[in-house]
Amino acid sequence: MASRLGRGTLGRFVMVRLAATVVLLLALSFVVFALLYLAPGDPARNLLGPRNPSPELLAAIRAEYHLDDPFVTQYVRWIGDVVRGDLGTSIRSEIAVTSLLADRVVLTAELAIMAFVITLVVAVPLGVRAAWRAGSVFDRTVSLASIVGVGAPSYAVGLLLLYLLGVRFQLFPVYGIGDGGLDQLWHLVLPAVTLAIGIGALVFKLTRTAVLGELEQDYVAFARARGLSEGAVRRLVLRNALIPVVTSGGLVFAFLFGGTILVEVTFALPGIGGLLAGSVTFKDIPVVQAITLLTATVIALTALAVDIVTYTIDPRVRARGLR
Amino acid sequence: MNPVLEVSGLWVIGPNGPIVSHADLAVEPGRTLAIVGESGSGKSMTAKALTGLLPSGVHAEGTVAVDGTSLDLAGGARALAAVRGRRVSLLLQNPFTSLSPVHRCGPQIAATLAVARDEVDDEVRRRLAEVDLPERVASMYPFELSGGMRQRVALAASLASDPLVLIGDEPTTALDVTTQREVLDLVARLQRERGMAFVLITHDLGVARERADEVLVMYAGRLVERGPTAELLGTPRHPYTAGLRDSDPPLVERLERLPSIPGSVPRAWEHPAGCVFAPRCERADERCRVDEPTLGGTDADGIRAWACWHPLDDRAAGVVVVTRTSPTDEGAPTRPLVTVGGARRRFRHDAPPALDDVSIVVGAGEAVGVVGESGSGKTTLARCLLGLERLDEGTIEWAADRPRATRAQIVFQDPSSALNPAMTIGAALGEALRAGGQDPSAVPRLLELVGLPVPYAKRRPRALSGGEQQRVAIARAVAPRPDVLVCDEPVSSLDVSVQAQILNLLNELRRELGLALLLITHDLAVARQVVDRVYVMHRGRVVESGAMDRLVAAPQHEYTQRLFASVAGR
Ligand SMILES: Nc1ncnc2c1ncn2[C@@H]1O[C@H](COP(=O)(O)OP(=O)(O)OP(=O)(O)O)[C@@H](O)[C@H]1O
Ligand code: SF4
Ligand SMILES: [Mg+2]
Repeated sequence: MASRLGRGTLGRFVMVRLAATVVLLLALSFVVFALLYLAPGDPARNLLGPRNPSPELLAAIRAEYHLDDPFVTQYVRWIGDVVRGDLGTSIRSEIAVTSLLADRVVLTAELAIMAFVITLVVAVPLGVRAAWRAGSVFDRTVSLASIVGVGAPSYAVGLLLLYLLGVRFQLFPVYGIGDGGLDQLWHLVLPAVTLAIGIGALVFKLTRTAVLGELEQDYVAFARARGLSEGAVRRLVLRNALIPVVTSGGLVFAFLFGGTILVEVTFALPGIGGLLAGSVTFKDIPVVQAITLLTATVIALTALAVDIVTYTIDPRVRARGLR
Repeated sequence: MNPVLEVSGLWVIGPNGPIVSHADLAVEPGRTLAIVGESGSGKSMTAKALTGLLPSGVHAEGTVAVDGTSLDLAGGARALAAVRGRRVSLLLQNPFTSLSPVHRCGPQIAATLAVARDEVDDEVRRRLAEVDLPERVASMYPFELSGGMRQRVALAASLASDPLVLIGDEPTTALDVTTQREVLDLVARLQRERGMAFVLITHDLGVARERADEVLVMYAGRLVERGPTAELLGTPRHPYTAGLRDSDPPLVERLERLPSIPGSVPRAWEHPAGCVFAPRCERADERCRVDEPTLGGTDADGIRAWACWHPLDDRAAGVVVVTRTSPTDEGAPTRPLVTVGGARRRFRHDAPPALDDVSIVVGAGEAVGVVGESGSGKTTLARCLLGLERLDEGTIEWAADRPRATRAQIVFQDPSSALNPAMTIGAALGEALRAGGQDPSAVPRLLELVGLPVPYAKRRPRALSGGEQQRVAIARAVAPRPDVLVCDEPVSSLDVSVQAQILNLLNELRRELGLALLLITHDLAVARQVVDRVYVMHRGRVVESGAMDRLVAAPQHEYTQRLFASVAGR
């Protein structure tokens, strides 16, 4: 039976999961494309924005976007363009959506990753420690703080941080993205912390619950009864608790990517979030489509990454393999 | 010989009061001490107190001396760190959860080995060989092994630090009978080789009878009797020991009525002054209800002790009047009620079928058993019969064309999950009566039929003991007047003394209502007390069938022989 757990199967596992991800994204892209039609009003008018169109202009738009073709034909053309990197032109700014997104994606990704790292480095160890000393003053204090962290709206936390650390003590810049490089990272610290607080509270709770759940398992009692040192017991528990933490950690990252919007607005950062907020108000459909598609792709790829990590760290999943 | 483990004045105290009260115990090197008792009697808490594993909110008092070193039990895990693992080790009940699922077996055994780093692999191999496992198990994960193999790995892990005392908390209860015997034989061999003492905690009197040199009987947190195994079980002095022994169903013969202890096991802290057993004791008098007896009464040589004001004497204890039923005949019933032919069911393509060409007949008013080990397909068969599961192939023919509710009803293993906690007993039974087109006002009669007080109709399931809940579940099942009552492990979650009551009830109902019974059980002795005819299942097939009397006396199939030979203590 052990031989079934060989290395060769990881490659296959990744291929199959990747294929499933592509199928999922195609289905999503179909829905995204349909946005054009789901938005109220005539698609041609929507594409023109709030200008008052002449009948000739409308006809020109219809021709340019092939709006009179059957829906499926339009979709196939659109997805073909998307795959080639052409996401259309922004209605508001009249530049290609791809170049509009390019810088902003980097900023948003930096922000999300920074917040994610802060979350992991702080929340996971706190969660482990709180579970290990469940009921102690430490546990109760951090648990209470996490309830506040989950409940507090991120813009409120952001404003508070801005006021305290930015304005009052002037430790961090309060506005914008700085001059690139390290200065940009420095500018992102406060927004990242703001994001990390809500998410971190969630990850803390997840970690605490996972470790507590493992601590109640028979194998922990059995390990102690056999005289394993507390350090050895801890390693045993953490290795087991890692599995639920990784699974939920991935979801949290995907959620983070979406959660940047409010924070970007609060800190006036030119990221995806700011762009989306403006584009929705303006009914800039090609941009909204592009951002939705991008977010969906990030989420799907994160889920894929979680699956692959779970596959490598959980022998039971490995044995079950592909079904 | 001096005891290697000696516990004196052990108390285990929980948030609601004492869980174990004043227990003393001792075991000598190489010997086996069994602690027997029903659920809630405090057996596991005793084991946990001795290994410093008590849950939070529970603490212990008293002292334990291991190999001459005396330790204060009140110190908990910290005080016991010196002996835990190294001198006293624990083996748990469930081999499916007692090993870490994401670590390979080898490192789990190696964790407490006291050898140099480069000798670990060789030593693990030697330890695996000691428990009769091949070398390759070291690199396997627990989920890749069967229950019996896992328990061997757990045993090797327990013994890695070469303890002087092994405490086994129901170490084989989760295993099938055939595997159970193998594991206990293995422990006995290792005990001989290592001179290790074994504290065997079990609810199974048969296991204690077969394996222990000495037995301690616990009831509601008290030690009620102590003595060498054969004497204690041969001539019990304490009425509870006698009751426990007599309610344990025999395999060799079928009793007209199993002796049982009335009532149910109380919680340790829920008892008034006096003897804990008084509410269930036939010999109880005024003194018993006021003064609590201690484990003081001893016989001449002081080896036996009991906590009772009116102990049984030799004669009274030895005599249990039993009426044996007349032997039943072999062969198919004259009036078939339901016939299953060539049934096949497979859940997964990579697993063997749950049902593989199974044919059975149940006649009107007949009691039929389906016995077999875990995973043999018994439950699947029952579910198919009830129409809860479909067959891939095969037929189920009912002789009478009646509505489904009046054809067959089922009683499950766990009564607490089978009853709706929000519904009163009366409402649940009324609903069942209506389902079978009966008069819903018959609830009181139904309660009387299953031996429950009529006012119970107003209660909710939570206010009933496990045995009482199972009576309600049975009442609900017989309410629509079904032709056949299917019971899937109806007593396996119940205490022995309560199990006997339920088995008697099933026999009575069958006589009074003319019901047919289909009893599904892994416990041959339980089947023996209820059924006339039996089907033995193994890996989805019926390997042998016939009159129970015949199978007990002369099993034909190799598997049936092994199954019957594995039953402990008979
Ligand atoms: N719904 C289901 N889905 C998948 N497999 C199932 C299902 N029900 C039963 N099985 C499988 O079918 C086989 C026989 O199961 P069944 O429960 O009938 O056995 P059993 O003899 O009653 O076991 P036990 O004594 O443990 O209750 C087992 O391998 C079980 O895992
Ligand atoms: S002391 Fe009395 S009540 Fe208790 S077991 Fe003995 S006879 Fe029964
Ligand atoms: Mg079953």
